[in-house]
Amino acid sequence: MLLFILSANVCFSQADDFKKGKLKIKGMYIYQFAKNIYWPEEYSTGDFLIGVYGNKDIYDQLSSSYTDKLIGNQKIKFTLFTNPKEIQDCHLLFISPEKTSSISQLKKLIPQQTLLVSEGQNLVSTGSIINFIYVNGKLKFQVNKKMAEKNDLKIGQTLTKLADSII
Amino acid sequence: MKSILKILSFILLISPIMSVAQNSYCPEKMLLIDKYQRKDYNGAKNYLDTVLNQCPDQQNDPYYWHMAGAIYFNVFKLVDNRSPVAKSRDQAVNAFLKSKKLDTKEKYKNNNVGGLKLLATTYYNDALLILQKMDTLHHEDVVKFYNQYKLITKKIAPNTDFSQKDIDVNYGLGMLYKMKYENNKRNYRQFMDLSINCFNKSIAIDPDHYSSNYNLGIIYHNLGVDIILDDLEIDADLEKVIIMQEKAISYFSKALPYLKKVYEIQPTDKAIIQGIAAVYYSLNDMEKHVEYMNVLRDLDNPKAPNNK
Repeated sequence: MLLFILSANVCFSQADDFKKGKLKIKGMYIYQFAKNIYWPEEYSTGDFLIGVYGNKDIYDQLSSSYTDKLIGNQKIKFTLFTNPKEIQDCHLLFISPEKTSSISQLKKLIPQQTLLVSEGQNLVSTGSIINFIYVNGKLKFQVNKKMAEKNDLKIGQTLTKLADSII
Repeated sequence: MKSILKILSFILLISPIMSVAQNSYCPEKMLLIDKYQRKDYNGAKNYLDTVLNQCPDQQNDPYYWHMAGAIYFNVFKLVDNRSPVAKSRDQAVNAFLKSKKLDTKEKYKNNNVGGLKLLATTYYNDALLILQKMDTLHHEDVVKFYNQYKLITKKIAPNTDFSQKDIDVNYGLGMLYKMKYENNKRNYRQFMDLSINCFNKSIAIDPDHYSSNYNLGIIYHNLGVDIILDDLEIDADLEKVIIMQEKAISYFSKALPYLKKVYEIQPTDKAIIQGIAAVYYSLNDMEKHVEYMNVLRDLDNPKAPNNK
């Protein structure tokens, strides 16, 4: 048999690569949300602020890939929040699945124009504007267009076209 | 190893049966025999055409071709030093086959078949040597040599069962192509497809072939990971993200049955269990992910036996 010579060459990708893959996809979606949503005029100066509440892994992924990239002429900056009291005004706030239940409380603390992105069962139950869901293993997103418009946020055509569902 | 490789010692010298009482007298053929007996194999090889030109009836003489086979064989062995690219080997095969075909009385049968067997083995050995060295530069020769081995063997032993050798060679080729792909993932994507094809050929013969199932599971898993981590540009547009994710999920889904198959065969192989857990994580089936992580944990910390 040839096995004994050749089997040493066999290995899986690095142990954490499969986790990195999922984080990368999620990060890319968040970046594309920032690019394809339009904020009111008063939000178009200074840095473009993206907050991450409750998940350091996605914060690390985002900040290492997109810090100082431009949205229009605004540089992207990321902040990790571990406590709801720390949360400051930002353009986009991603709330990790573990913290999704606290959205209704968070909404009282942040301006309406902050785009809330969550990961939970569905849009209605999370109360966010964009919600991540997994469908047959694939990461997809739902958009609450009505709420976005009510909060003076304009959802770009790309997002409405590619969303898994829109309400 | 020796039982597979059967590296020829060439102890057995091909000695043509000496016979001159064939058809009409041909003095050039006598000279040819003389050159052979004096071990002037190169001289004999160069004289073969002269014999045919001077004595055209030799074209249909099984003895002439038997002699030609023996001459080319010795040139291959002693002049060309058994080089895998030597033309003399193919020439020896063709000459022995021609003699075998013309030899209706089977006067030279044993020697022709003996020579062909030895030559077939050299092709097989050359194919295996490339695989053993993981010589990615000569991957095409593996196919060429192995096919030549089978072609010759089928002519001398039509009922030969090649199943096990087909499994081994396809598995080895699968590994070779896989290595070639991994050396240059961006430009050698086609070799990954060839690798998958070879492992599938092994599995078509033996569905339980552990190593081929194992490698297919790993390849599909790693392709899914690579497509996201290496192929997907960080600022790719959303359509591309979705397409690439679909592709990755498709690869992860393909990996699963192969990994489960080897898990059935070898349920204590931790790398396989980790692989299955990773695939379920990538497919976002977290219940199954946890289930296999627990299997792994139980293997790492076996429970104390109940001695009641």
